[in-house]
Parts: sequence; structure tokens; C-alpha cells
Amino acid sequence: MEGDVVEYRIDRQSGIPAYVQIVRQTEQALRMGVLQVGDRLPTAKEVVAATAINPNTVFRAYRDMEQAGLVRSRRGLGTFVTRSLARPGAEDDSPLRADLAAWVARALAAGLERDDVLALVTAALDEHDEQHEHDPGDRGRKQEDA
Amino acid sequence: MRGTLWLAWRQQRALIGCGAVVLLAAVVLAAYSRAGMVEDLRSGLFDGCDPGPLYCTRSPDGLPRFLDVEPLRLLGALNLALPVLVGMFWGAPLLGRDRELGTHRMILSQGVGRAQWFASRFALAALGTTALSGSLALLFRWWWEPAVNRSYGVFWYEATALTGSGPSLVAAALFGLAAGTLAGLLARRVLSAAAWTLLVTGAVAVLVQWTHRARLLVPPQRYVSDGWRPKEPMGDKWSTGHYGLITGSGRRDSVLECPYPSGRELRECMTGHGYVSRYYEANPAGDYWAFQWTDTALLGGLALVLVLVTVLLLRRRV
Amino acid sequence: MTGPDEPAALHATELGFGYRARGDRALRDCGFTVPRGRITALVGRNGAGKSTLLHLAGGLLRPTHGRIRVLGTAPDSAGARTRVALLTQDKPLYPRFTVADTLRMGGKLNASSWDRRVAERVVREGGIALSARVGELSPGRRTRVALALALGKRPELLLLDEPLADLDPVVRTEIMATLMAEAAERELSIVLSSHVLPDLEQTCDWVLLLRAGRVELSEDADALREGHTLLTGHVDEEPALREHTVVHRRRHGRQLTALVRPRGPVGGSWHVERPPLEEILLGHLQDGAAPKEAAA
Repeated sequence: MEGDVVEYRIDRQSGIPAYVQIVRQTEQALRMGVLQVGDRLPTAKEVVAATAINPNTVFRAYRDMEQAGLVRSRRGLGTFVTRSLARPGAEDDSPLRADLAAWVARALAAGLERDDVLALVTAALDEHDEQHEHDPGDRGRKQEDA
Repeated sequence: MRGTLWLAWRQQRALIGCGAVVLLAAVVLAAYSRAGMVEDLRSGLFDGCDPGPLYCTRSPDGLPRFLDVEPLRLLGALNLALPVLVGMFWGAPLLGRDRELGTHRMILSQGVGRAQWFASRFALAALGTTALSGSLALLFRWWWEPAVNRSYGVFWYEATALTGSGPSLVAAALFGLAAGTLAGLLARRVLSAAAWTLLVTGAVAVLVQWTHRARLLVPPQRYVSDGWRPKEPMGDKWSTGHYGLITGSGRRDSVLECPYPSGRELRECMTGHGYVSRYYEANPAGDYWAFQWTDTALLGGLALVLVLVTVLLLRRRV
Repeated sequence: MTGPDEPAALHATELGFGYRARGDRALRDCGFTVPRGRITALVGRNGAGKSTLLHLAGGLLRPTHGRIRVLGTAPDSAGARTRVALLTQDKPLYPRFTVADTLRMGGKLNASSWDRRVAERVVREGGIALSARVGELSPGRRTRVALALALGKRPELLLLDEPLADLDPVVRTEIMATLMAEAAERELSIVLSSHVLPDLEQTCDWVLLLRAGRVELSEDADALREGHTLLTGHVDEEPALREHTVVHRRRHGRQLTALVRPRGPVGGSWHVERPPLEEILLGHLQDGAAPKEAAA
């Protein structure tokens, strides 16, 4: 139930609105299991004091996440995580991760460079998306990886 | 108002302390020196002295005899310079310091109006100035008391006494403060404000001395003595330096027509020229207060005008 | 965020101001409204009238034309004085006062509204000793003390004239963070002028842009972002821009780059980008004939 479980970093040069960055970083923390159900998100004041961004931005990000059902704010207490995005496969010791590590080792052994590996993964994901024709709410994801 | 008064006190306490130290030093010097004066008078050395002769002589050798009034004259000189000093060191920084540092903008954005900003600090400064100048004027008067208008002391018409004592000193000091304050508002720099204050208060001080010498505001009286009868002694009167002869028709001529103090030559000369009486012009000792009150009205009025101008300019300049 | 009946943080109608000594008008025909609860970036080139506008809003100057209202009242009224704080560019403080003296002065001058805790916290966050003399502090720390004085009076509207000028990037971020934290905690409208456009990108949600004494933009920052596009294409495509507002255009050989406020879909083939706020502001500042440089 600690309030300092996540720390937001705002990239000022990215051109991505700060509230989008907060939402994405929260989602990422939820996916990684860094944030769990019941955790309290830092207060707007704490975020703002650490990042020097407009408090209205934080309010907006939290409101968006509340509407998405990820968090709920309780008056006077703070904003709490209500749903987890962690998938079993994303944890550090999962079999998928082990598979990926082995694959990366093979790719590097085959003479691929870091950028080649990333391009390969992105291409595979894109191909997958096209085949399955569905976009599960990650609108900005492609841009972000590009 | 309490807040700005606190600030005024916080910023002026050093000056008020300075004033208090000067006053204390003057009091100590006065008490010591006056005691010496009183003792000298008690010794009987001055018993034969009257205001009459211009100086008092010692019986065996005929040398002139004086009380030690130099320290008193020193205080008089300090009092003469007081308006200039108050104007330069108290008045000029009063608004000038804030104008120079830009801190009036900070004060004015701290819930303080212009009028309050000015009123509280000027009120405190005016109070301090009045207390200091009033005390110094009273101190001079007390110290002067045993030597007032004595041949061995200090006559009322000496600048150190006439300007360095009495209510006019308070008015002059307040004028200096008001002049310095306005200069600070206009000049925006303490140093140049102080320079302007020196110039203005100095000029006014010279002007005041000139009105005294010219008897511009307090006209002298004419003392006429018929024939060649001895003239009424000058005593503690302040002579204008105009004296001469009057004909039967009332025409006044220079004393050089008959430059003889008395005796037969004078009598013959006067009859020869048709002069019937002699005269001289002077201000009697009682005119001390006439000079005091005219100066007080003049300088007090000037101070008031300057404060008014400051208040009017406050809204435009700050 | 705020009720519609609540008076705006800043509201000006036909506002004009001329410095008598210079003759020309520093501000002319300014009409704008800044809603409450916003963090407003006041941008403009040197001599555009930013300081003049803030001084008018802070009651240090009086308009020569039109009028300006802060929180619904006249800037030099007693009511406005307790609710509005202005930090001028020179951040004036008494150099011989200690920090503690300076804060005590704030308490004495704002007896009814002073919050010592806030003021002391702002000072402490900068690691400033209360016994330090103000005149011996670094510029960043001086700014912080001046800011403590401004925040300690718990204003509803805080006007800051170039608060970040002359400060190093670390201090700039720290001071901005302090400001934002204060705004997060309570209803506080901030108007801050700055030349450092990147600093404004993530902090300001309202933009007031001055050009040569006139208000060119008074708008929500997101609306500005969404309302502008940056188009890059062949110069031959230029006629397609005719029915749109071109804020700024630049030709380079056959290439045309244009910052555009589209009124509907843009025809032609263009590479379309969503420009960051900084670029939009720059575009508006550069547009057309360059404004007269401020006299040195």
C-alpha cells in the first residue's frame, strides 16, 4: 500500500503529451507487475514536485485511467490500483521470457545487430497485427516504437 | 498599517540609533561644559560684566574676558547642519533605497498600498526627526542659558543661536527630511538623491541666513536720539549697520557727513549741516522670537508643500 | 474546473499602456480572458509588452487606455492586493535582511493571509539557511526566497515575470516543481512569462502570446496543439493552403514547410506532423514582418 511504488519520468522533447506519458508508464508498471492491485499511486502533488509538470496534466491522466477502470480515486485517501494488467508471460522468470532470451542469443550469434533484432521483432508484431486485424486499445503503441 | 510600521522600524532602527547616540553625546558634552561655565561665572570673574560693553575686561591687564562657549557654538553648528544631514541620510534613502533596489515593487505586491508604504515610513522618520531636532534645540537653549546675550557669551543673533535653537530648528529638520524624501522619489538613486538634497537644503539654509542679514522678514527698528545727546547703547540689539544723521526736514544722511563720535567737533558739524538728530537701525533682542516664528512658518510650510508634492507624485512615479 | 460565473483570473478590454518617456505604446487594444485555475504561459519577444502587462495586472502600473481586471476586481484595489502576488523580473529583496527577516516581513505585511509553513517549506526545499543574508544568496536561491514571499501570502493569482531567467537548468526545474506542487495543492492560477519555450511545454495549459503590444493568442494549450499542423511538401502544393490560416511558412528549394491552422481537411499531398507547443509558439512569434526590436 505504499505511495512511492512508481516514479514517472516525463520526456519533454518527445512531443507526446505528458498525460499520455503518465498513462503509458502506469500501464507499463501494471504490466510488469511493478504496480499491483491495492497500490496507491503518488498524489498529483508528489508527481508534480518530482517532474515539474502541470498538475492538471496529472489530474487528467488519473481521470483517464479511472474511466478505463484501472484505478479508483478515494477522496482524501488517494488513487488506488483496482485492476492488474500483469500477464503471466511478462514476468522475469516466465517461460516466454526464457524462450525470448534463447532466441536473442541465436540472433546475435547469427550476426544480427541490436537494431536488426528490434526491427525483426517490430516487423513480426506488425505482421501479426495485420493478420488479426484487431487493435486492443494501444493506439499510440506503433508510434511509440517507431 | 502595523506591518508597514514594523518594516519602517526595521529599516530605520539603525538611523534612529545613530540619532540617539549623537543626542546622547551632545547631552554629555553639554552637561560637562555647562557645569564648567556655571562654575566660571560663580568664581566672580565676570561679576563686573554687563551686556553693555562689547567685551568684558580683566581688571589688572585689561585683556578681554570670555567664557568657554566654543563647545556650545559647536552644537550650534551641528544644529545648523542638521536639516542637511537629516535630508541626506534619512530623507534620501526613505523612498530612494526602495526605488534603487526595486523593492517597492515587492512591498507593493505584498498587500500594501502606495499611500500606506509612504505614510508609515515617513511618519516614523518625521517622528524621529522631530524628537532629535527638538531635543537638540532644547539642549542648546539649556546650555546657552548662562551665556545668553552676554558680552562673554553668545548673542541671540549669531547664526548658531538664531538658527541652531528654537522651534525653527524642528521645522528646518522636517524640511530637510521632506526634501530628501522627494529627491529619493524622483532620483531613483540614493546617492544622487542625497546630492540633490545637499544642494537644495544647502541653498535654502543660505537663503534663510540671507533673509536674516537683510532683515527681509523681520524689519529692524529705528532708534533716534535728539541732537548730540549720547545714543541709546546698542547692548544686545542686532545692528543692521545703518546709522547716520537726520536733518530738520527728516532727510537721513550717512554718518560720514559728521564722522565724530561726540564732543565739540560733532556739535559743530551737526549745526553746520543742519542735522537735528542721530539714528541707528537694529533688531531688539525680543526679535529672536519673531525670527524664530517666521522661519518656523516658512520652513514648515515648505516641508508641507514638499510632502504634498511627494504624495501627488507617488501615484504617478511609483 | 471552475464555475462559469466565477470571474476570470485575468480579463482585459481594449487595454493599452504608453510609457510617457518613450512616446510609443507598449500595449494597445488588448482584449483577452484567462480563466481561473490555469497555468498560463505569457510569451512574446523582447519588447512585446510582457512585463508591462504583468505590471498592469499587478497594479504597479495603471492602464492609459481600457481596463484590466484580476479575479474580477481592479488590480490596485485592497481586495486584489491580498489575493494577487506579483514577482517582478528583478526579484527585488532587501539584501541586508536575512531570509528569516524577509519571511517575517511577509508575515507582518500580510497579517491576514500569511502562511508561514508554505513560505518556510519553499525556502527549505532549496536548502537555504534562514540565517543567511539575502544579498549573499545565489540568483537561484534569491528567486526561491522571492517566490516563498509570493507563495506565503497564499495568493489566488500568481504573476511571475521571467522567474526562470538567469537560472541554471537544475534550479529551473526545481523552482518549476515547487510552483507546480503549490498549484496542485490548492486553487491557484499562475501567469508566467518566459523566453524558455521548452520549459513551458509540459507546464502551461493556457497560452497568452503578445506580439508588438497586441495579444495574438489567448487559448488553451491543448486546443493550440490540436489546432495546428506542420506540413512539409512540394512548393507546387502551396495553393492548397489558401483556404487555411498559414501561421508561418518557409521555402527551401522546392520544399515548403508550413505551420498551418487548418479550417477543414487540407488538400494536396503533404507530410503531416503534429508540432510540439514550442514550435507552434515559435511560428507565431516569427510570423510575418518581424516586430520592432526593443530599444537597448
